[in-house]
Amino acid sequence: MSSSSSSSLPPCPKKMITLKSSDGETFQIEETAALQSKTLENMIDENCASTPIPLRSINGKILAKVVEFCNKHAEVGVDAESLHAWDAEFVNVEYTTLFDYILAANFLEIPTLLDLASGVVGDMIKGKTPDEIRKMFNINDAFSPEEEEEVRRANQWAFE
Amino acid sequence: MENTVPWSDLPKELWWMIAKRLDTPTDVRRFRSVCSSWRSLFPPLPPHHNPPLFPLQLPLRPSQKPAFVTRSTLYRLQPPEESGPAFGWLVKLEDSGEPGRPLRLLSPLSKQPIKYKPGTFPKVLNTLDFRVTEIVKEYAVEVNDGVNFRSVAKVALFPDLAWGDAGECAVVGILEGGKLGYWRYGGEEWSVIEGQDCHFDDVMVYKGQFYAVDRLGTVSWIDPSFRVVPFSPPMCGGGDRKHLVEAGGDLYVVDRYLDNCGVTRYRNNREVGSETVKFRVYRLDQEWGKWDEVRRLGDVILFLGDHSCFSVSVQEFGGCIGNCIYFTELSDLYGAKVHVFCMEEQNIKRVAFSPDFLRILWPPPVWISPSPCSLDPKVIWPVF
Repeated sequence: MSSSSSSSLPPCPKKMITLKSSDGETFQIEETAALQSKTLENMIDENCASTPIPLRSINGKILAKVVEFCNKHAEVGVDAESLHAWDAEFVNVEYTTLFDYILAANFLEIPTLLDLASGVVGDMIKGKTPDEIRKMFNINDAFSPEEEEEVRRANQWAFE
Repeated sequence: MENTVPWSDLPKELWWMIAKRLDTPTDVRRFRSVCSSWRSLFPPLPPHHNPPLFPLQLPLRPSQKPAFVTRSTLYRLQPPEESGPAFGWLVKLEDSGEPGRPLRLLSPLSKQPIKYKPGTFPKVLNTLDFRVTEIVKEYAVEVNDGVNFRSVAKVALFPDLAWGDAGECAVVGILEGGKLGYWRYGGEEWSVIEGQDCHFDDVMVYKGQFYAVDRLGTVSWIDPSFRVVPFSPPMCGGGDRKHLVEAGGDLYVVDRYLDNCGVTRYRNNREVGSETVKFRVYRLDQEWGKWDEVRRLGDVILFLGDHSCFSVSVQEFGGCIGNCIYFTELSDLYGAKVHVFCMEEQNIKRVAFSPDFLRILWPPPVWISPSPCSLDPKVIWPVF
């Protein structure tokens, strides 16, 4: 045991970067996990990641979840099925949180998270009436009379 | 729902990303019907959504009139949530050949049009008033006059997505003698898939791929270059016809037993019908590659129609009975009459005479048709 450990190389220290949320919390994330974010990747490439990176549009609660998501997706040896189950649990959250995930994923350019969260919102829309969708998303944007007529025509079933 | 989130502030490009997740024309059309800003995200759906989807010819008889792949869509209609418990209705519409042409209401299990007394069913339905979910799209090969030929027993078509390009789609069909054939959009003839020495009974699209089942119950995957790749071991059921159906994301094979053991009998040169006596249901355990017999379907209802097999859950249809299989007979002798096989009692009823089972199909609920259609035998018997 001792001879083999002495001959192996010391573990390479993991390169960490620090993120700072809008409310001043800091989070450490391994560089390999952070690379899932195109925004962070660019900062790393430009050597702007040596000091804590301020993320003024993301609060600590959401940033913690985003870091958790990136860590999970950077894990080696996770099979597709269990990752899928983990993802489903990750987005099984309140409506408000989902909205924050989408904005954070868009700002940090994390396509996997953006895809996951927007898929859940897409599923919420499926099957619902336009009225229900308007209520769900608090939409008060009215149609012009011409549009109103077009909408009515496009959604009617006329029978023989 | 409590809503303090400024969803309306979400940038347009993010709504566009979300809308890209909607894959049925119904959902896309309704998304465009929410508000001006969502409407402006996309143009109306491309015109290829007006079938006939594409012209082709009947196999083995190329001199005949050209045929077309036609499409019908099965919908679940429900009132909005606030109007009380969901009491859904299953409806099938033939997608009309051209915009503005009246739609035909069909039996969910066949091409049989439903004829109702004038005044009992709305001439125009405003679908914005209720929830609409596409359950399945089904296809048939027909010549212009709407006649379906036996030379293509069943077809599946893929892809047929709201955002798809018609030029990429293909049909896989079961041709005479149980051979599998395919026709690519814009193609000139049916290509019989080589290397098959079995008799195929059914074909469907499952998780974006073509699958077929042969008479021994072996499920095969048809790969993108149209080769048949065995996907399951043979099921080896003792029945006479195999049907493929998806329920809850799993693949099921339903084994149909006929009264004369599947031997075709003729009288005066006409095929004499073989009556269905029972079904057995098997679920494919894809992890272990084995078949499990399913004796109880629970809240699930399976539908084995002339052109498609699909499943629904009774929760979505409040008040109907689960653990059963709705089906039509294979023989012309029985027309398109709908029967139901109860898994529990192991018996078969005609739905026209069983209001509890008929309910999911007819009459339409009062929020569709305020002057309710009566259960007039003249309407019901020829269709159901």
